[in-house]
Amino acid sequence: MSAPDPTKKKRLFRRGLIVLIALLILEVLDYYTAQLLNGSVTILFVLALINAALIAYYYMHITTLFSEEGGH
Amino acid sequence: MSRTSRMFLGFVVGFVAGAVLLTVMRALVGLSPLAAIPALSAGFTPFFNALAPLLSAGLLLGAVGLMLGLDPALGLARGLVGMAIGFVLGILLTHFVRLGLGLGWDAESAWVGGASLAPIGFLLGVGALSDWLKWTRGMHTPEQHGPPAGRPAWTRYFGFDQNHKVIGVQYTVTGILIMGVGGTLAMIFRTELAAVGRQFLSPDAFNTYISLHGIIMIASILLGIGGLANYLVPLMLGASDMAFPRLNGFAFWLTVPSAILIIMAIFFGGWDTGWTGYAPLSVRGPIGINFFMIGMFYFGFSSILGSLNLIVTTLKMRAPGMNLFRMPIFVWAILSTSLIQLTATQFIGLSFLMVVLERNLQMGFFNPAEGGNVILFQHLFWFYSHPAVYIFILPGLGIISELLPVFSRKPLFGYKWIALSSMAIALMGFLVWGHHMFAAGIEDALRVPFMYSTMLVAVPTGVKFFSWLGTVWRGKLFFPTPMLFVLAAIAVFLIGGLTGPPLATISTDLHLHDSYFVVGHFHATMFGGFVFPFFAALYFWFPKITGRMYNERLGQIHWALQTVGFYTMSLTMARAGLLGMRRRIVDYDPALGVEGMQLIVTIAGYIIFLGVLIGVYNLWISAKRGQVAAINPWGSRSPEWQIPSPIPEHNYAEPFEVVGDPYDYGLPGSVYVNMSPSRGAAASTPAH
Amino acid sequence: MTAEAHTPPAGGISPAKRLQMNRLGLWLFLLSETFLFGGILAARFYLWGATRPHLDQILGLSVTAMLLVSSFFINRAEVAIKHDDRIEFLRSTGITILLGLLFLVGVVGLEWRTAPVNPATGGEFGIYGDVLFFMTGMHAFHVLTGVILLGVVAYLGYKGHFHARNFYGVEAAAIYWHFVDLVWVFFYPALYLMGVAVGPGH
Repeated sequence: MSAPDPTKKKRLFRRGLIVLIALLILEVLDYYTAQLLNGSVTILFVLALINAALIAYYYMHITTLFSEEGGH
Repeated sequence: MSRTSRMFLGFVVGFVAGAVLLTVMRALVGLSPLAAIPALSAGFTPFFNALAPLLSAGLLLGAVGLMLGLDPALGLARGLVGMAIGFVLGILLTHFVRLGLGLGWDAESAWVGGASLAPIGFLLGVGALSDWLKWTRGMHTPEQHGPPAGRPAWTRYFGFDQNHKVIGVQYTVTGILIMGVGGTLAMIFRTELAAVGRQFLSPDAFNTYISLHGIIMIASILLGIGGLANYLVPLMLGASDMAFPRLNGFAFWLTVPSAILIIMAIFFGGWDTGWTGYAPLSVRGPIGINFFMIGMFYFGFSSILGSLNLIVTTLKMRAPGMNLFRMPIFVWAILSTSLIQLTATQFIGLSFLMVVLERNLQMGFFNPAEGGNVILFQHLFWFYSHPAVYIFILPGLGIISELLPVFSRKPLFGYKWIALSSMAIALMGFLVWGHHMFAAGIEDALRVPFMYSTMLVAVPTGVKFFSWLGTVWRGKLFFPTPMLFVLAAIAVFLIGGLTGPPLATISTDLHLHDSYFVVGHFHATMFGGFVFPFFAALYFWFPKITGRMYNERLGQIHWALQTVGFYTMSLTMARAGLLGMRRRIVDYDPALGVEGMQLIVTIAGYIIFLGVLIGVYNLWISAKRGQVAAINPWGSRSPEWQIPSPIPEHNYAEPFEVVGDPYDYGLPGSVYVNMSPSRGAAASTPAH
Repeated sequence: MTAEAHTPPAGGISPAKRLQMNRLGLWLFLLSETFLFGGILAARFYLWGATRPHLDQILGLSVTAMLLVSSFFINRAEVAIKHDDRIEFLRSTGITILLGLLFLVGVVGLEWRTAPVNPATGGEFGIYGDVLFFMTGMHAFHVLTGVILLGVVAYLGYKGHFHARNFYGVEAAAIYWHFVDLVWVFFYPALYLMGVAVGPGH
């Protein structure tokens, strides 16, 4: 593990905030889909998938699962 | 006080405590202390019927007392005490929550609360949670090796242990015990079915015993698979243990209170739906169904956590040089099995949870009057239970692939194809569940696709069969007991496989659904896919696990009885089914003309039971007094056969290195593993 | 097992490998849970089809926003502790726990009592109530266990247990929390937004 780097930390804090804003925007889009598009299941599902991908990639760092393949 | 008198005192105290506790608990739910279990009708004396529940509770707690007298630190005994405490606390908690909500006392809810908390009490008592609880307080817990301080080695097997070999033995022995319970139940109801007319079993007792037989046997298969996988996979990969040793022990000990809960259903009216628990009958039937479903819920947890462990171990702990296509084939089988177990099991938990909620909180998921749908249960249930049958057979088929090259002295034909066929079966197994519902009233448009997908699963299965043929073709075969069981497994599984397409085809299935043809089909697939290979594996690895050899003559007798008995039973069942004999009925119409066949099936069942008894006796007695075995009596190339028997605590003294393919028997100069890479190539195992 | 010297073989498991294994184990567990929640979602569609009950939309928006914001804060906490910023870690974890508890108050405390499908308040909408309570109940159970896990992590962090070279406990609790949020990302539209609203309420 490399030494903790304060600028990297601030960058990551900021990135987290941007992701949150994106998630909240998606939530608003969700709400208006329900109001204006008769709650289209397809569109809502797609929005949910985008939401899920953002959380999985940025917050859960799912990619760390596939990095540093150990020894063969 | 001498140890014997301590054990006696413990038994007496436990017996009395058990009888008193059961009386109080039954009184609390409004049942007379002397009311009978779903009983045997007028054949047995009412006196015995009345005392049966008290005797059983007394014996159970008496056994706990006996164990505590033997060794107060015995994990299992403490676990059982914890389970009893958990029961009582659960009942009290449920009652007080209901009081708080303004509801009165309800017997069923109380028992559900008790049954739900009991396994947690057990786990705390047996010590399966201790390390993790210490972690929440920031304490470090070094991995423990060997029995608890100052205690004899045998106590490891009766408590929480982290070593995968100990856990493997625990799983296997528990599985064999449970199989005995399931087999005994079968002997009871088979005796009733042998002749037309009601002999001695009441319909309720019959329904409970067949339901229990089904779920108990399923549990014993899962336990047996857990045993084989946990013992063998780390050894085959060159690891010193599994990825998560504590999780491993935890997953094993989950199964014990689960099995106890399921069996306890007998004392609460049993249940009458068969092991499949279909709504609406499961929603309306006796209380016992809650014990069955809650027990299965916890058992499923064990399945999920155990498979998780196996997947991580396989993907992350292989020896240097062991890429995925150089693993022993059994590991591929377990990997595919684990992928199913990890994911599909949640669906049986979900479906059972919904039944328990519908019963206890009146949430009408399956009640059409409330907007629910009965078929939903079947979809959710079979979405697990069909892949489940592939869980049951994939490891056994992996054992067949593992052993045939050793006993043919020839390479495994089509290793890559066999490995990938296991994964294909696992995947395709998720797409066929509707074939259990052809007669249930599902939409017509759904039935044909399920028919096609079901038939397609036969393709990867066929790949295995042809590869096995290719393996033995022109091999130098020899036939000790494990090989006998492997060959019988193939022949029996073939019957199971051939009885599949008539069931996969919708038109014939409508005639055969719920008949003895189905019973013949799944017994053949289960015996061919699990029971025969399981015994093959036990006999095969016995010298490595115990350091002693089993008795070959007894092994052959076991094999002969089981094979002849099973063939007779299975083919007769199929024939009876074709003639219209329904399943899950306590009596049948003599005009069907199947009475003779029912008698044959019963006798065949007794023969199988006898064979298994002889086999278990053989393993037991040989472990104590068998001839000391050579390190590698079968001439296997697999790494676990190159180290001493019994296997040392940490398996391999140094990590080995894989330098060739595992099954190149008979190919001159071929080498699989280098057991001592630090000493150079000179130490690699010679070709056979 | 014989009583011999218990010396593990040379070449045990390196800390990097241990971390990899722990991560894989956690994700496999989440994969399993995905099947559970997927099954529940399938049941919702089987029973409700393209309909849903009338529910309080403001409440739905609020609790969803709270959960999303809580995910932001636990991410912040995780980044903080990986950079040895214990103060920020404790603060952000505390806020996450608070938001999680508020979510439970919103769903179990408010929604459950005021939903027009609650028979206790005069609604008798059978299957709409059943599925609503089941879905939110199962999810809330996981929120509760997440809160407890975060509580343990906060306590251990307070004692100084976590830092830049020992952070996996925080990471695991955070990933579990994000998963719980992820489930709600699907459950929220399924309960509040998808399809046509039918039945009592407005």
